[in-house]
Amino acid sequence: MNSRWLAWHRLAGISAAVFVVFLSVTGLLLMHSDRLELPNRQVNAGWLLNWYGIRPAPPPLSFRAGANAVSQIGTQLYVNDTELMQTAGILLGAEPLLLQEPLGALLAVVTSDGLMIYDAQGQLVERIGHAGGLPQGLTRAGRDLQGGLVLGTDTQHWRYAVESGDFTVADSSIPIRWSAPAALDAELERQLADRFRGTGLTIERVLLDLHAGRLLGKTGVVLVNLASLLLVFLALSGMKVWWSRLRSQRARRNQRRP
Amino acid sequence: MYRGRRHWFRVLLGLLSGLLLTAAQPAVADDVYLSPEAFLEHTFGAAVPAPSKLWVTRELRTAIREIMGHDLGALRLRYWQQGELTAWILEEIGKEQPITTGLVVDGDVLQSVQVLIYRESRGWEVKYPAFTSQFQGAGLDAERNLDRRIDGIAGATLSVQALTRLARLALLLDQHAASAGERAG
Repeated sequence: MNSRWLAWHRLAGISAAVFVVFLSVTGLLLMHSDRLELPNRQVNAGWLLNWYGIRPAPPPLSFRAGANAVSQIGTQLYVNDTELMQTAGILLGAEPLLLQEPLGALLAVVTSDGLMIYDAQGQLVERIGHAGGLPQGLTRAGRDLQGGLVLGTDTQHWRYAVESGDFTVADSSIPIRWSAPAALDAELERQLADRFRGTGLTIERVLLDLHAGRLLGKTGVVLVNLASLLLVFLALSGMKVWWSRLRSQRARRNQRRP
Repeated sequence: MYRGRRHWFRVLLGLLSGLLLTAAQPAVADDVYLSPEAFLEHTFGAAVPAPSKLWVTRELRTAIREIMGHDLGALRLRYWQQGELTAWILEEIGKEQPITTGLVVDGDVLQSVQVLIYRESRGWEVKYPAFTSQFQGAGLDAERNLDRRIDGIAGATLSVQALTRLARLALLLDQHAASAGERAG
């Protein structure tokens, strides 16, 4: 009886060994994650990015705004090679604005679901969504002859006054210079494509998913559950074997006594 | 016995291989519980007031830093006001991603806190009223802390802390909007 338990205990031990080493190593790395700067290290391995469903970057949509190039790749917005923010909308245009001090030179970035105004230092002045008064159904952005920011649907135009923060309906017959997509410098496009693909997937994220089994989706979670059950069985079978040996040792000792 | 063990080992290997072959890819997605527009309609009814604006002055920026530990990232904020009621849509990062939150201040206390969009991979339990209802009636004390204890959620510590900071921020912004006629927008 005891030898059968011992055999199962050994089998469970061998089966669980891989999981124990794996969970211990990933757990140790996660415990020292901040010291190893794992949250800040991006994953660049193509196969791993593919596994997470992070595909190569789609072609950027870019607009020139004075000396700046504002681009969108996927849901990420960039000004030149710097990340601006995520958006669920589509980049419609980017316009340089020149206002009186203290506002001075500004950059307006317009998407179908947001208007972002940045100052000359790249500091966000404000972000306006539909809840904040941004008109619905925007398809384009541009400037009027006075240099004011104009947003438009196919049938209606709005002028945005940065000083007051108000939208007013504009005369649709007034000529507007609309933002038009422009080709991006090839080197900058390559930089953005590389950065876009690696963004968001850190080594810490991968380790967390490995440790919890989520890297393999539901299958991984099932595997980790099985490993946990194996460890429970290992503990119980170990106690059972130990208890049986203790009893047999006591029995032998009692037999030897006169 | 040994034959039985070999058989068991083969079954285990087969099971593991099968599971690995059918492995699914991990999924990542934003969870939109309530759109900002729906939050405002829920707060004010069909007649949502026009947004008011609040400039982040140097004094306010210092106070924001004390609460958030960083700048807000914008120099002008929009909020919605009807009588003593002000509504704020604010964002704060829990661990990696911003949590979009709708907060309503009535007078000088919080009326409600609602998670609108949650983007983190875990900690989403903060969306439940069982947690957010703790903020109802909370105000700021002299040190700009909430005047009550907010119980955390195991496994959602960073999200809880983010929402607590946002609650303090909304109360601070409401105070500033109320003072010096800022609410004129």
